[in-house]
Amino acid sequence: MKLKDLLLYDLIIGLLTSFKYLFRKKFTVPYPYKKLEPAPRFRGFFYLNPSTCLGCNMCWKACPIDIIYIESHDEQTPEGKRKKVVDRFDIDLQRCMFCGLCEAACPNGSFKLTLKTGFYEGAVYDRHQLYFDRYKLQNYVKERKEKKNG
Amino acid sequence: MNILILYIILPAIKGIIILSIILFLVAYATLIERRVLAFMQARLGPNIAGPEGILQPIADGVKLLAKEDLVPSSSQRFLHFLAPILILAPALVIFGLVPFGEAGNLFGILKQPITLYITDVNVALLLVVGFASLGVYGLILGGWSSNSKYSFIGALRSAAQVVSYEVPQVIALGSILLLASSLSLVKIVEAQREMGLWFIFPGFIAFFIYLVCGIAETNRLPFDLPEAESELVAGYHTEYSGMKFAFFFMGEYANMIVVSSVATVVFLGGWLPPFPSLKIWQSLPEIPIFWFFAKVLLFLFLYIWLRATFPRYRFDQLMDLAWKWLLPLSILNLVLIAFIKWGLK
Amino acid sequence: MLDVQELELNMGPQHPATHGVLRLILKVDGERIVDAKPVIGYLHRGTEKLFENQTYPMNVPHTDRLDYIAAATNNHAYCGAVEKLLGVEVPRRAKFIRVMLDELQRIASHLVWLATHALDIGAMTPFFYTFRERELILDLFEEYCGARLTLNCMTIGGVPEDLPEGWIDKLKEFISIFEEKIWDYENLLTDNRIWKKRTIGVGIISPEDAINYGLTGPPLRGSGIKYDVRRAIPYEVYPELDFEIPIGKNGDTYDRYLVRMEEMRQSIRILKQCIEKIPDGEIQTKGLKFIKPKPAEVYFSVEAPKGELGFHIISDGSPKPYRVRVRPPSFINLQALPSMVKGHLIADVVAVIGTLDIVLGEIDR
Repeated sequence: MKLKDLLLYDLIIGLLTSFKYLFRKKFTVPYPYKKLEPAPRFRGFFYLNPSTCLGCNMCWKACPIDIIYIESHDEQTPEGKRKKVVDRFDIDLQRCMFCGLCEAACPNGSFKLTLKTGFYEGAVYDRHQLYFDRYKLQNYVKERKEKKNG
Repeated sequence: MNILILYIILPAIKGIIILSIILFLVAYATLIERRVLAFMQARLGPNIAGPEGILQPIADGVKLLAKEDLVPSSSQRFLHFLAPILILAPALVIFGLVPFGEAGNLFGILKQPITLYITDVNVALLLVVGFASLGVYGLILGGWSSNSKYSFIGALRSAAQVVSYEVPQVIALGSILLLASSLSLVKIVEAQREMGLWFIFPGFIAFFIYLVCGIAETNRLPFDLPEAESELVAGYHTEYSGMKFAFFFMGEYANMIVVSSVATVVFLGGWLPPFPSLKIWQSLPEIPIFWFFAKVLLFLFLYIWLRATFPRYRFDQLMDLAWKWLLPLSILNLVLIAFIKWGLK
Repeated sequence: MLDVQELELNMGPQHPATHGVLRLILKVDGERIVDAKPVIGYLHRGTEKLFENQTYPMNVPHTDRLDYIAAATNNHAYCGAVEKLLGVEVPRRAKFIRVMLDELQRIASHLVWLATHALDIGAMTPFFYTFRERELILDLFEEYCGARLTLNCMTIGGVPEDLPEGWIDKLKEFISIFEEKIWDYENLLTDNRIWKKRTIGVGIISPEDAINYGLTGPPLRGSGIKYDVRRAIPYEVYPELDFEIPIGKNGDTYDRYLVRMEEMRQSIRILKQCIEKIPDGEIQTKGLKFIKPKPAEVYFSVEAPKGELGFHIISDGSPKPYRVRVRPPSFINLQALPSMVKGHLIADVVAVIGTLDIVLGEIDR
């Protein structure tokens, strides 16, 4: 039986380790009085301007859960070319897993479907509010952020 | 008339005051524990209910009062009702014996000095040990009346643990009896004042044994296997809800405060300042119960500190510790103290 | 006459200590355990059948949910298997990024293991200290790929995005913080006499039994056998990196604890080397927009924190796989539980479950 064991050296070291945390800064963030900002690449809620959508259906094909519903029809522009106009662009956010494959598949450059809105407080009382149609895709995040700040 | 006041009315008033102080301390011990434990774990504890969480025990109490009182259908209602009472009541009775301070004038309010304890029974230490062992009944009845395999196993383990750790505890207290030559708690404090030293200095082994046994008696980490969450869900109080569960909890904290109080009276000199024969204590103003409560709070902090740091012992290792290590150590300590006493003469 | 009966206890699916929905039927004689039988299937989600209905790139987010604590290694194993099927080579910079993500994930997974294992045995505070460090790792992941737990951080042919600005500096900061804090956990647990009493001699498995059961990962290395997929079947850039494989002596819980603590330190060492050696370059092989492999069969495995995680893929020439079979390390490690627990007390069952480090998402798929 070593002297260290007899004097309970190992127990005292453990006690001192937990004691020093009494006086250090605590790690808790008191949500909702103080909130952390998500990173720039954070995959939050959707944003899309449906009038700039090309209607190529690449996001629909890439989605693993098949929750994007797109309907479009063809129109003639004044120059005589054919253009696709999107009638219906719905995303069913109740089942979305925010994997980002649709965003990676969208070829539209700076107008693409994006998840990087930094919005994560998506709890609602009625889950049918989470079925995003054209209007919500464009405006939901903006409206919620304004309501929070204003 | 004098007898009426002295022996009936005055102790009754003192009893009510002490009981309310102790129940207040028991309720706020829960808050102290949660906050200090949280601080040691680098997080904040409950701080929303009231400033810094002062109203949290009241919120907990109201919540538990409003809960439905579930009794398992195949259990005996009377025993189910009796078990929490048997845990809390003996702990509260012991406070009638513990001396909080000596005769004081309460800042000159009263004309005559009154003693700050209810009675001075001359076998107080024996009574304390006796009442503390009544708590075992509450545990066993709690497990039995829940009519569930897990609770029963937890209750049996807890009863075995409490009974085994009482033996070294009583022998350690017996060595203090040798030093003080009296079983009365007030005379033990007086003996420490005469000696000029707290009894922790000659009897530090006894203090260590008493502390370890005290932690085991109250089912706290590192000896809390009977209520280990990860094994038996919650042991003997799994099936209790509402105010009965609150009683079990209050019983645990009341037992903690009892163990701390007895340890301060017997080992740390009760209401005496450290090294009571020093001259500087005469020049400072005497606050009657400051020293007592400071020491009790120190013990509570020690309990919480131990809970935050250590893992728990397995049951057979627990019993091993009691019978193979603490019991011989306490007997050796008794012999040692006898030698010290002989040497002091 | 008096008859001693064995009690049959059910450590049911809902229990604070089984790490997920695991059901154990214990046959107990007094306090000693005579037999333990795990019953699984409470978390079965039909993942392998799901893989057959979707194309190869669509399957990557579903592999995150297998071992939800260490998601990057799941992605890595699947993408590596498909790349082996197609016969493509990943660019060098992408290989380094994949190795860095893997090792960070290994540290994060071992931190969760330490937290829950210590909590089961009774020590409450390592839980909070380890989760504080895990927050820093999850913040790093969030900066890189946008999610904290279900990462989806690798694609077939490389990684989807390049490292953002300042990520490597944050990683260096994390490494310096972590090297101090790991001493906190060691001080609280490694020399503690109560911890040693609870873990030494508990759950012993001999080296022959370990090989016969097919255990991999720390349960195998704790018994003294030096098998690590990173050295045995090297992949990515591991042949160029310099690290050691810790092994134990006795095969009990304490040795497995020491093996995992040392693995965390070795991961830090690998991360430091990767930071120095990472080259510039591309991050994704071109030409993999539409994946349609030839009919073939392939098996690819990585060293996940819990053991050897492997994917066996059979393709039949169409864009969807014909059959995907996952080799989950926790499932195969769990079958050693009855032999490890025989003769111990009920209190040791939780310690043994904690030391095997099982995740029900992998076992049930």
